[in-house]
Amino acid sequence: MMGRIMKRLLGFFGGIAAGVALAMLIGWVLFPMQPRSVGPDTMRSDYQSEYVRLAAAAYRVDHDLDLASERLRRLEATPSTDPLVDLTERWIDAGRPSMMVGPLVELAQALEVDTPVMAPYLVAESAP
Amino acid sequence: MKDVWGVAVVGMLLGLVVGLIVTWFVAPPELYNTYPPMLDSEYRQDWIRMATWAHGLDGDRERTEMRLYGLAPEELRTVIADVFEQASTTGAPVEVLEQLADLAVAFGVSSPLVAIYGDGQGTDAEPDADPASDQPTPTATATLAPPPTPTVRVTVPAATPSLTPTPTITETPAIHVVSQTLTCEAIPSIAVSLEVSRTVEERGRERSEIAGLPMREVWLLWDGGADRAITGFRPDLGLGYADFEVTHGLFYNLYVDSPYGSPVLTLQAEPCPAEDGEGWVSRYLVLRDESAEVAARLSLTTTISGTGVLSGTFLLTTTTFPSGTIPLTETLTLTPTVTPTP
Repeated sequence: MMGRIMKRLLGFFGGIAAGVALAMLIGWVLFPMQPRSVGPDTMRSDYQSEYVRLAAAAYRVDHDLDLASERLRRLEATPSTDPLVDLTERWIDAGRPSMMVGPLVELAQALEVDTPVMAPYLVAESAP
Repeated sequence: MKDVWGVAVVGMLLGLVVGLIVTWFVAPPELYNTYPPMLDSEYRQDWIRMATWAHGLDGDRERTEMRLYGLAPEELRTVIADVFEQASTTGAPVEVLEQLADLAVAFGVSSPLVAIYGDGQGTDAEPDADPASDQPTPTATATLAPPPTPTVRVTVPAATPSLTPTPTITETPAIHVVSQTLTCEAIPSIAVSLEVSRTVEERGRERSEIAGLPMREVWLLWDGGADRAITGFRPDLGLGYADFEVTHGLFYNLYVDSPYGSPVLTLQAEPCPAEDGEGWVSRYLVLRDESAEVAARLSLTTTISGTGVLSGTFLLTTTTFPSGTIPLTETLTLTPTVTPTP
């Protein structure tokens, strides 16, 4: 009697395990649900750096601070200006040319997140 | 045994349903390490937009192509054309527009504006660019063959040839008002169509034609303000077309290319004559650029003074607007004058 019940329980839980495994195969591999949103925050880190750089370059042309802020927010960082500040300081440390750093510093200043290390670039940018 | 299999099947169905709910709705797969082509349409188009603007700034084609790698050509064309349109309507600098046109052409965008700026780049490289749009600025460059060798047997102490070329250009106004059309409008405006008359050869026969001149700056200056327009932004109205809204009561000086020197015309938006009803006089001016004719009449006077025997090669060039150089193939004969010192 006990053996029969044990067999049924084993069959039941074995079935559940098999069903879950099959569901994982279907749901995650064969027919995965499309993610609701694939935003810039999902991009590889080098693309995210490029994204920040592009946002700064675009700001230099269109001077649309709200749009630049919105673009940075899409990286889902907290605070949203972190990627900008990080990249700017990293590039300043690496001695990247001012042509590359300039737009980043300009945007950082516009967003009021410029740091002391950016100060020389701010002077250079404002110089005639 | 049948019971065991029945229970197992029930368990499997239960596991499958619960598993699918979890994998599809509770914990769907999350993407990471994506790249631009995988982004949602909205973000993807924003990426293209930003990359296009960046290209307008730096003109780095290689980098821009890397940024746009893998994206659908049709989407690229649409967004690049949109950015170009936005840049032209918001008055982006000509350099930016040229870089954008370069990119647009590379990705197969075709529009009248792109053609203007794309062609503009092309004609820059051609030496026989439309000379009618040229504003010559002659410069004289003298290359001396060192050292001077006296051929006259006289004592010439410290024969140091000195050349002081002093070019003098006799300028003539090159823009003329060909016609002026007045209309009565609620909001006064000044529209300009800049054109050139040029001779073209067709089947071996020469004939003259009138063509609009795009990418030329037209300035309107008034007391306390200035406005600038570039011709060609509305190709449907002519390649040389540009217009301004003006305020009645003010005097406006109209310039072409640069807001210096004598204006082409001084205008005022005055009220319409009583028989035309209420409103303000708007003007449509047809301007003819006669720079080519003027350039042909330019006189270049160069004064060269020196002592000793001079030998040298002279290269006279005239820098043309917006860019390019036309060599003036002129042979100068130097007649050395030597005054012997006792």
